[in-house]
Amino acid sequence: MKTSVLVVLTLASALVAAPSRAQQMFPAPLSERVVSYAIDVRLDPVGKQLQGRERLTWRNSSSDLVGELRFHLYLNAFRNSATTFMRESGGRFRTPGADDRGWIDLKSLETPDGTSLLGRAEFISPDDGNDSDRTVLRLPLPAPVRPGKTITLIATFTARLPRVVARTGFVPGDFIMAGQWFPKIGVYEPAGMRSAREGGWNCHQFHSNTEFYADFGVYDVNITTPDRFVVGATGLRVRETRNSDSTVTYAYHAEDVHDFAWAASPFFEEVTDTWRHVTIRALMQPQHLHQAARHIGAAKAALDYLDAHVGSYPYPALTIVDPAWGGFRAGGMEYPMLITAGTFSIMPEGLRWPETVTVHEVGHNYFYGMLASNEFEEAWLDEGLDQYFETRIMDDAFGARASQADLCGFHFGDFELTRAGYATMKNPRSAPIATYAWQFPRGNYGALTYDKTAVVMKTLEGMVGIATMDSIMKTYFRRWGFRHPSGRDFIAVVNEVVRTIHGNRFGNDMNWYFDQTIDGTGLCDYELTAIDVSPGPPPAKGEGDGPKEDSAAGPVFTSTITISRLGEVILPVEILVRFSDGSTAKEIWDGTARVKEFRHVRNAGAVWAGIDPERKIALDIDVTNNVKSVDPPRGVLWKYTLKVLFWVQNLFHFAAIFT
Amino acid sequence: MPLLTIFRTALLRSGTSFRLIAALYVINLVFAGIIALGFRSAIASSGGVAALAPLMDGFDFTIVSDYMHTRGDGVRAVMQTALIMMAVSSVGNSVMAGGVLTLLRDGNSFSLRAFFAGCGAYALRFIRLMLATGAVTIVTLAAVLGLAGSVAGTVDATSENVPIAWMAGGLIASAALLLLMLMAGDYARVMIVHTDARSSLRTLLASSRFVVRNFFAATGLQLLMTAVAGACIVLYLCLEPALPATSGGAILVLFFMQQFFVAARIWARVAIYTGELGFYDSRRPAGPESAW
Repeated sequence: MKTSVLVVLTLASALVAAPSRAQQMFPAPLSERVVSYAIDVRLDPVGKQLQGRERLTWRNSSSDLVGELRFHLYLNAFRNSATTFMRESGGRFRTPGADDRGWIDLKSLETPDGTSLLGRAEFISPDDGNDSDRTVLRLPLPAPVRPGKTITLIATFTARLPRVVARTGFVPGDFIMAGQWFPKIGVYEPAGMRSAREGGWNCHQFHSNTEFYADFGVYDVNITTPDRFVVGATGLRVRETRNSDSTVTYAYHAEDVHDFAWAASPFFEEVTDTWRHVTIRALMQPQHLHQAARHIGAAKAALDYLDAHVGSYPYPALTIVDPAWGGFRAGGMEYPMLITAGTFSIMPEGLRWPETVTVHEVGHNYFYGMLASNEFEEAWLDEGLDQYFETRIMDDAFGARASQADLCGFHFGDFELTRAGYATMKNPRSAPIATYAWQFPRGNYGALTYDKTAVVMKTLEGMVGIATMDSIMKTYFRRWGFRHPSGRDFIAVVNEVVRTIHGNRFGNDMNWYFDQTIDGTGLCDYELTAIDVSPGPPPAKGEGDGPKEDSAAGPVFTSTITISRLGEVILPVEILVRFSDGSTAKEIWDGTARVKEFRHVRNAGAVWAGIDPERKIALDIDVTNNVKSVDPPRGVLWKYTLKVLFWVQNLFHFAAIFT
Repeated sequence: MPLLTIFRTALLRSGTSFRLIAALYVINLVFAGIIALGFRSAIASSGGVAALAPLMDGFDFTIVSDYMHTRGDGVRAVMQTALIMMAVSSVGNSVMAGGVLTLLRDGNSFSLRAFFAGCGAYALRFIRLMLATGAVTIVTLAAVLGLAGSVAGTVDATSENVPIAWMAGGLIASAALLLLMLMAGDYARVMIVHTDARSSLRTLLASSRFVVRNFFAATGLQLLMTAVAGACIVLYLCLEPALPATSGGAILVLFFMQQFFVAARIWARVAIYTGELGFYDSRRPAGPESAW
């Protein structure tokens, strides 16, 4: 063959194999791009199967010789009732029959020269030794991958989607949510990365509570479906090819992402809008079309807020998928550039569930998407920080007292609800936030990971101020965006920013705070124990701080305010005291002692005292013991007594309908 | 007699039953008051009253959720008692219906003696009637709603509109059945008072026939009366938010407004009985009639 022909063929194949400049999202990589996937997948909507061919290139970015690879085969979590996922879910996710199960089988695994490696592969269960679990595949290599070198593998696979479970699967009627559907390589962590003491693969089994962890890279995915399907996916759609067999192949390209998901349904109604450089595409169920503006509006509000308070959303697209009826378990899930929401036909404007879910999942494109922490091991870094920002965004958009619900005079805010999720737990001491996701006591993962973390962040915000908090988040994003931060990395940023802005006002660092709240299980509960007012000056000797004298001529009262620390967590707290002449005094206490007394000698006695009057310490588990007054407020007692009287009268009257 | 004439007459006649309505109102107030004062006592003794002060200005989710989590046992106990009292009040209302209908039937002015005599005369029959009506209604509604729910839950649909339609259909059918049963129960009581029928169940069957034969007129009357009572509640719900009750005077106004609406509902109930008595009188065969 002539050289010129070879050159032309080489160029042509390069053009086919790699995205053109026009298809590139970014002029320069945003991440290290450890992986590159090129996948052709064909949907069989009848058998709910995916036939795939995957070309994976993995680069050894460490200085280690890497002798084996590890892969996630997440769909095998739904293979039978004995998988780790199914066991841990305690039957909660068990599906009725074999027809509803999901699985993924590798048909071949080869090097580009055709050498089969499949025979070398074995399933392992690094977390629990469960032989029935096939969600992690270990592949010893014929030769190790040297530092800086790449390895390319070509796999063919068949995947069967389960009836929707754990945010993936199908719903009868042809709704497809393809999440975690392809063989995905784990993350090789060299010594020093996150908490790794020595180099090794971080590739956990799929657990009931866990989500995901993967390396950034480039995805080129060709999705072939019957032509009646509307498809949405991670990335940009770069090509659409109509095939002779009444199918369409949609080519998607995504850069600097660590996962790829797609959804398909013949019933999607598409609504598009733009936010700055981002095309927002909402794929709505027909019966929810009237709510497209709510979803898109929430997405825009989230992007606006996150852009201002965390960092820029660099991707050019965002797809919102509205799951079909019966696909509730596909809702409320985040993937890079693609999120799933969830709503009902009848959803009053005052119930802000669609907005909340949308805001939460858009937030995940930061806390998970770009700040790609390990969701298996440190779920608080994505779910918790995202929950914190969800509450900030929702409360900012709809008001702190009505951002979750505002209906018929009944209202509550997103942060209020989040805090209650933690504060009303049966056992809030059951585990520290810093627990591997699958090791939380059953039923406590959500409240501790989402809610408590958000409350911890809100309390930090209360202490250091919102401007400092924003500075923390911006620094964290700038430094750790498109990388894999750990909890220690986040705390290091907090320490650095707080010290820069506040000096040593909070000590040399904030570790004392995170030791108690992220690593500890203690509660924060301060109580206003007593207000004692006595005429005359205080006794000559007494406990507590020396009396604060602020008296002029005339009668003198000594007011003693007693505060107790009922919980283990120690935080600085403010105490506000009101006196009978309308004056006030504010105390700041380091919160250390178990009991503390403050005395005020004035011409007026104290009538009311409250701990943390501005509710900065959201962690305080019980606000009802934060306040005391000399005379109980009778008005509020009567107001609600009369309300109860009225409704009981009506209840009795209602009881007369059969009489 | 035309329906609107019966309706107008019922409103006018019930308007003259002031003492009867007042007696029913006081009984209702006393029993509900016991619960409400129990609620007040539970709150006052819980030790967290000072923290509730912000509720004077409006609802505060954090205070309420923390309160109920840490100190809510007393309030929950009061609420449970209220539900038990609701069941007791069903029986009480059954007994009192005899007194109400006797007074309305005879057109006499209110006296406690006549009221309690009427209560005693029909107490057992009305309690049996209440149990029968309640049982039939519960079984029927459970069947209808269960059917609609099971179809809604299993129907293979790509949209929730299909199951919602099934559930909505079930609810509408249930509401219609409930209305029929309420009317049958009401007219059974009217017939018992008119004819002194001894068998509650047979009278219930007879009243059901009466309701079916006079379906449109009976239903129209019932709906008119129910609309009046419903309007009272809607009006209250519209007015209540406009009165935040953040001071002693405003709380007092709230109290009077609440009690006005409670009295209005009791008056509406008496008016329904008056209308049903008038309607039954206008439609029953001439001369004395026995249910069986």
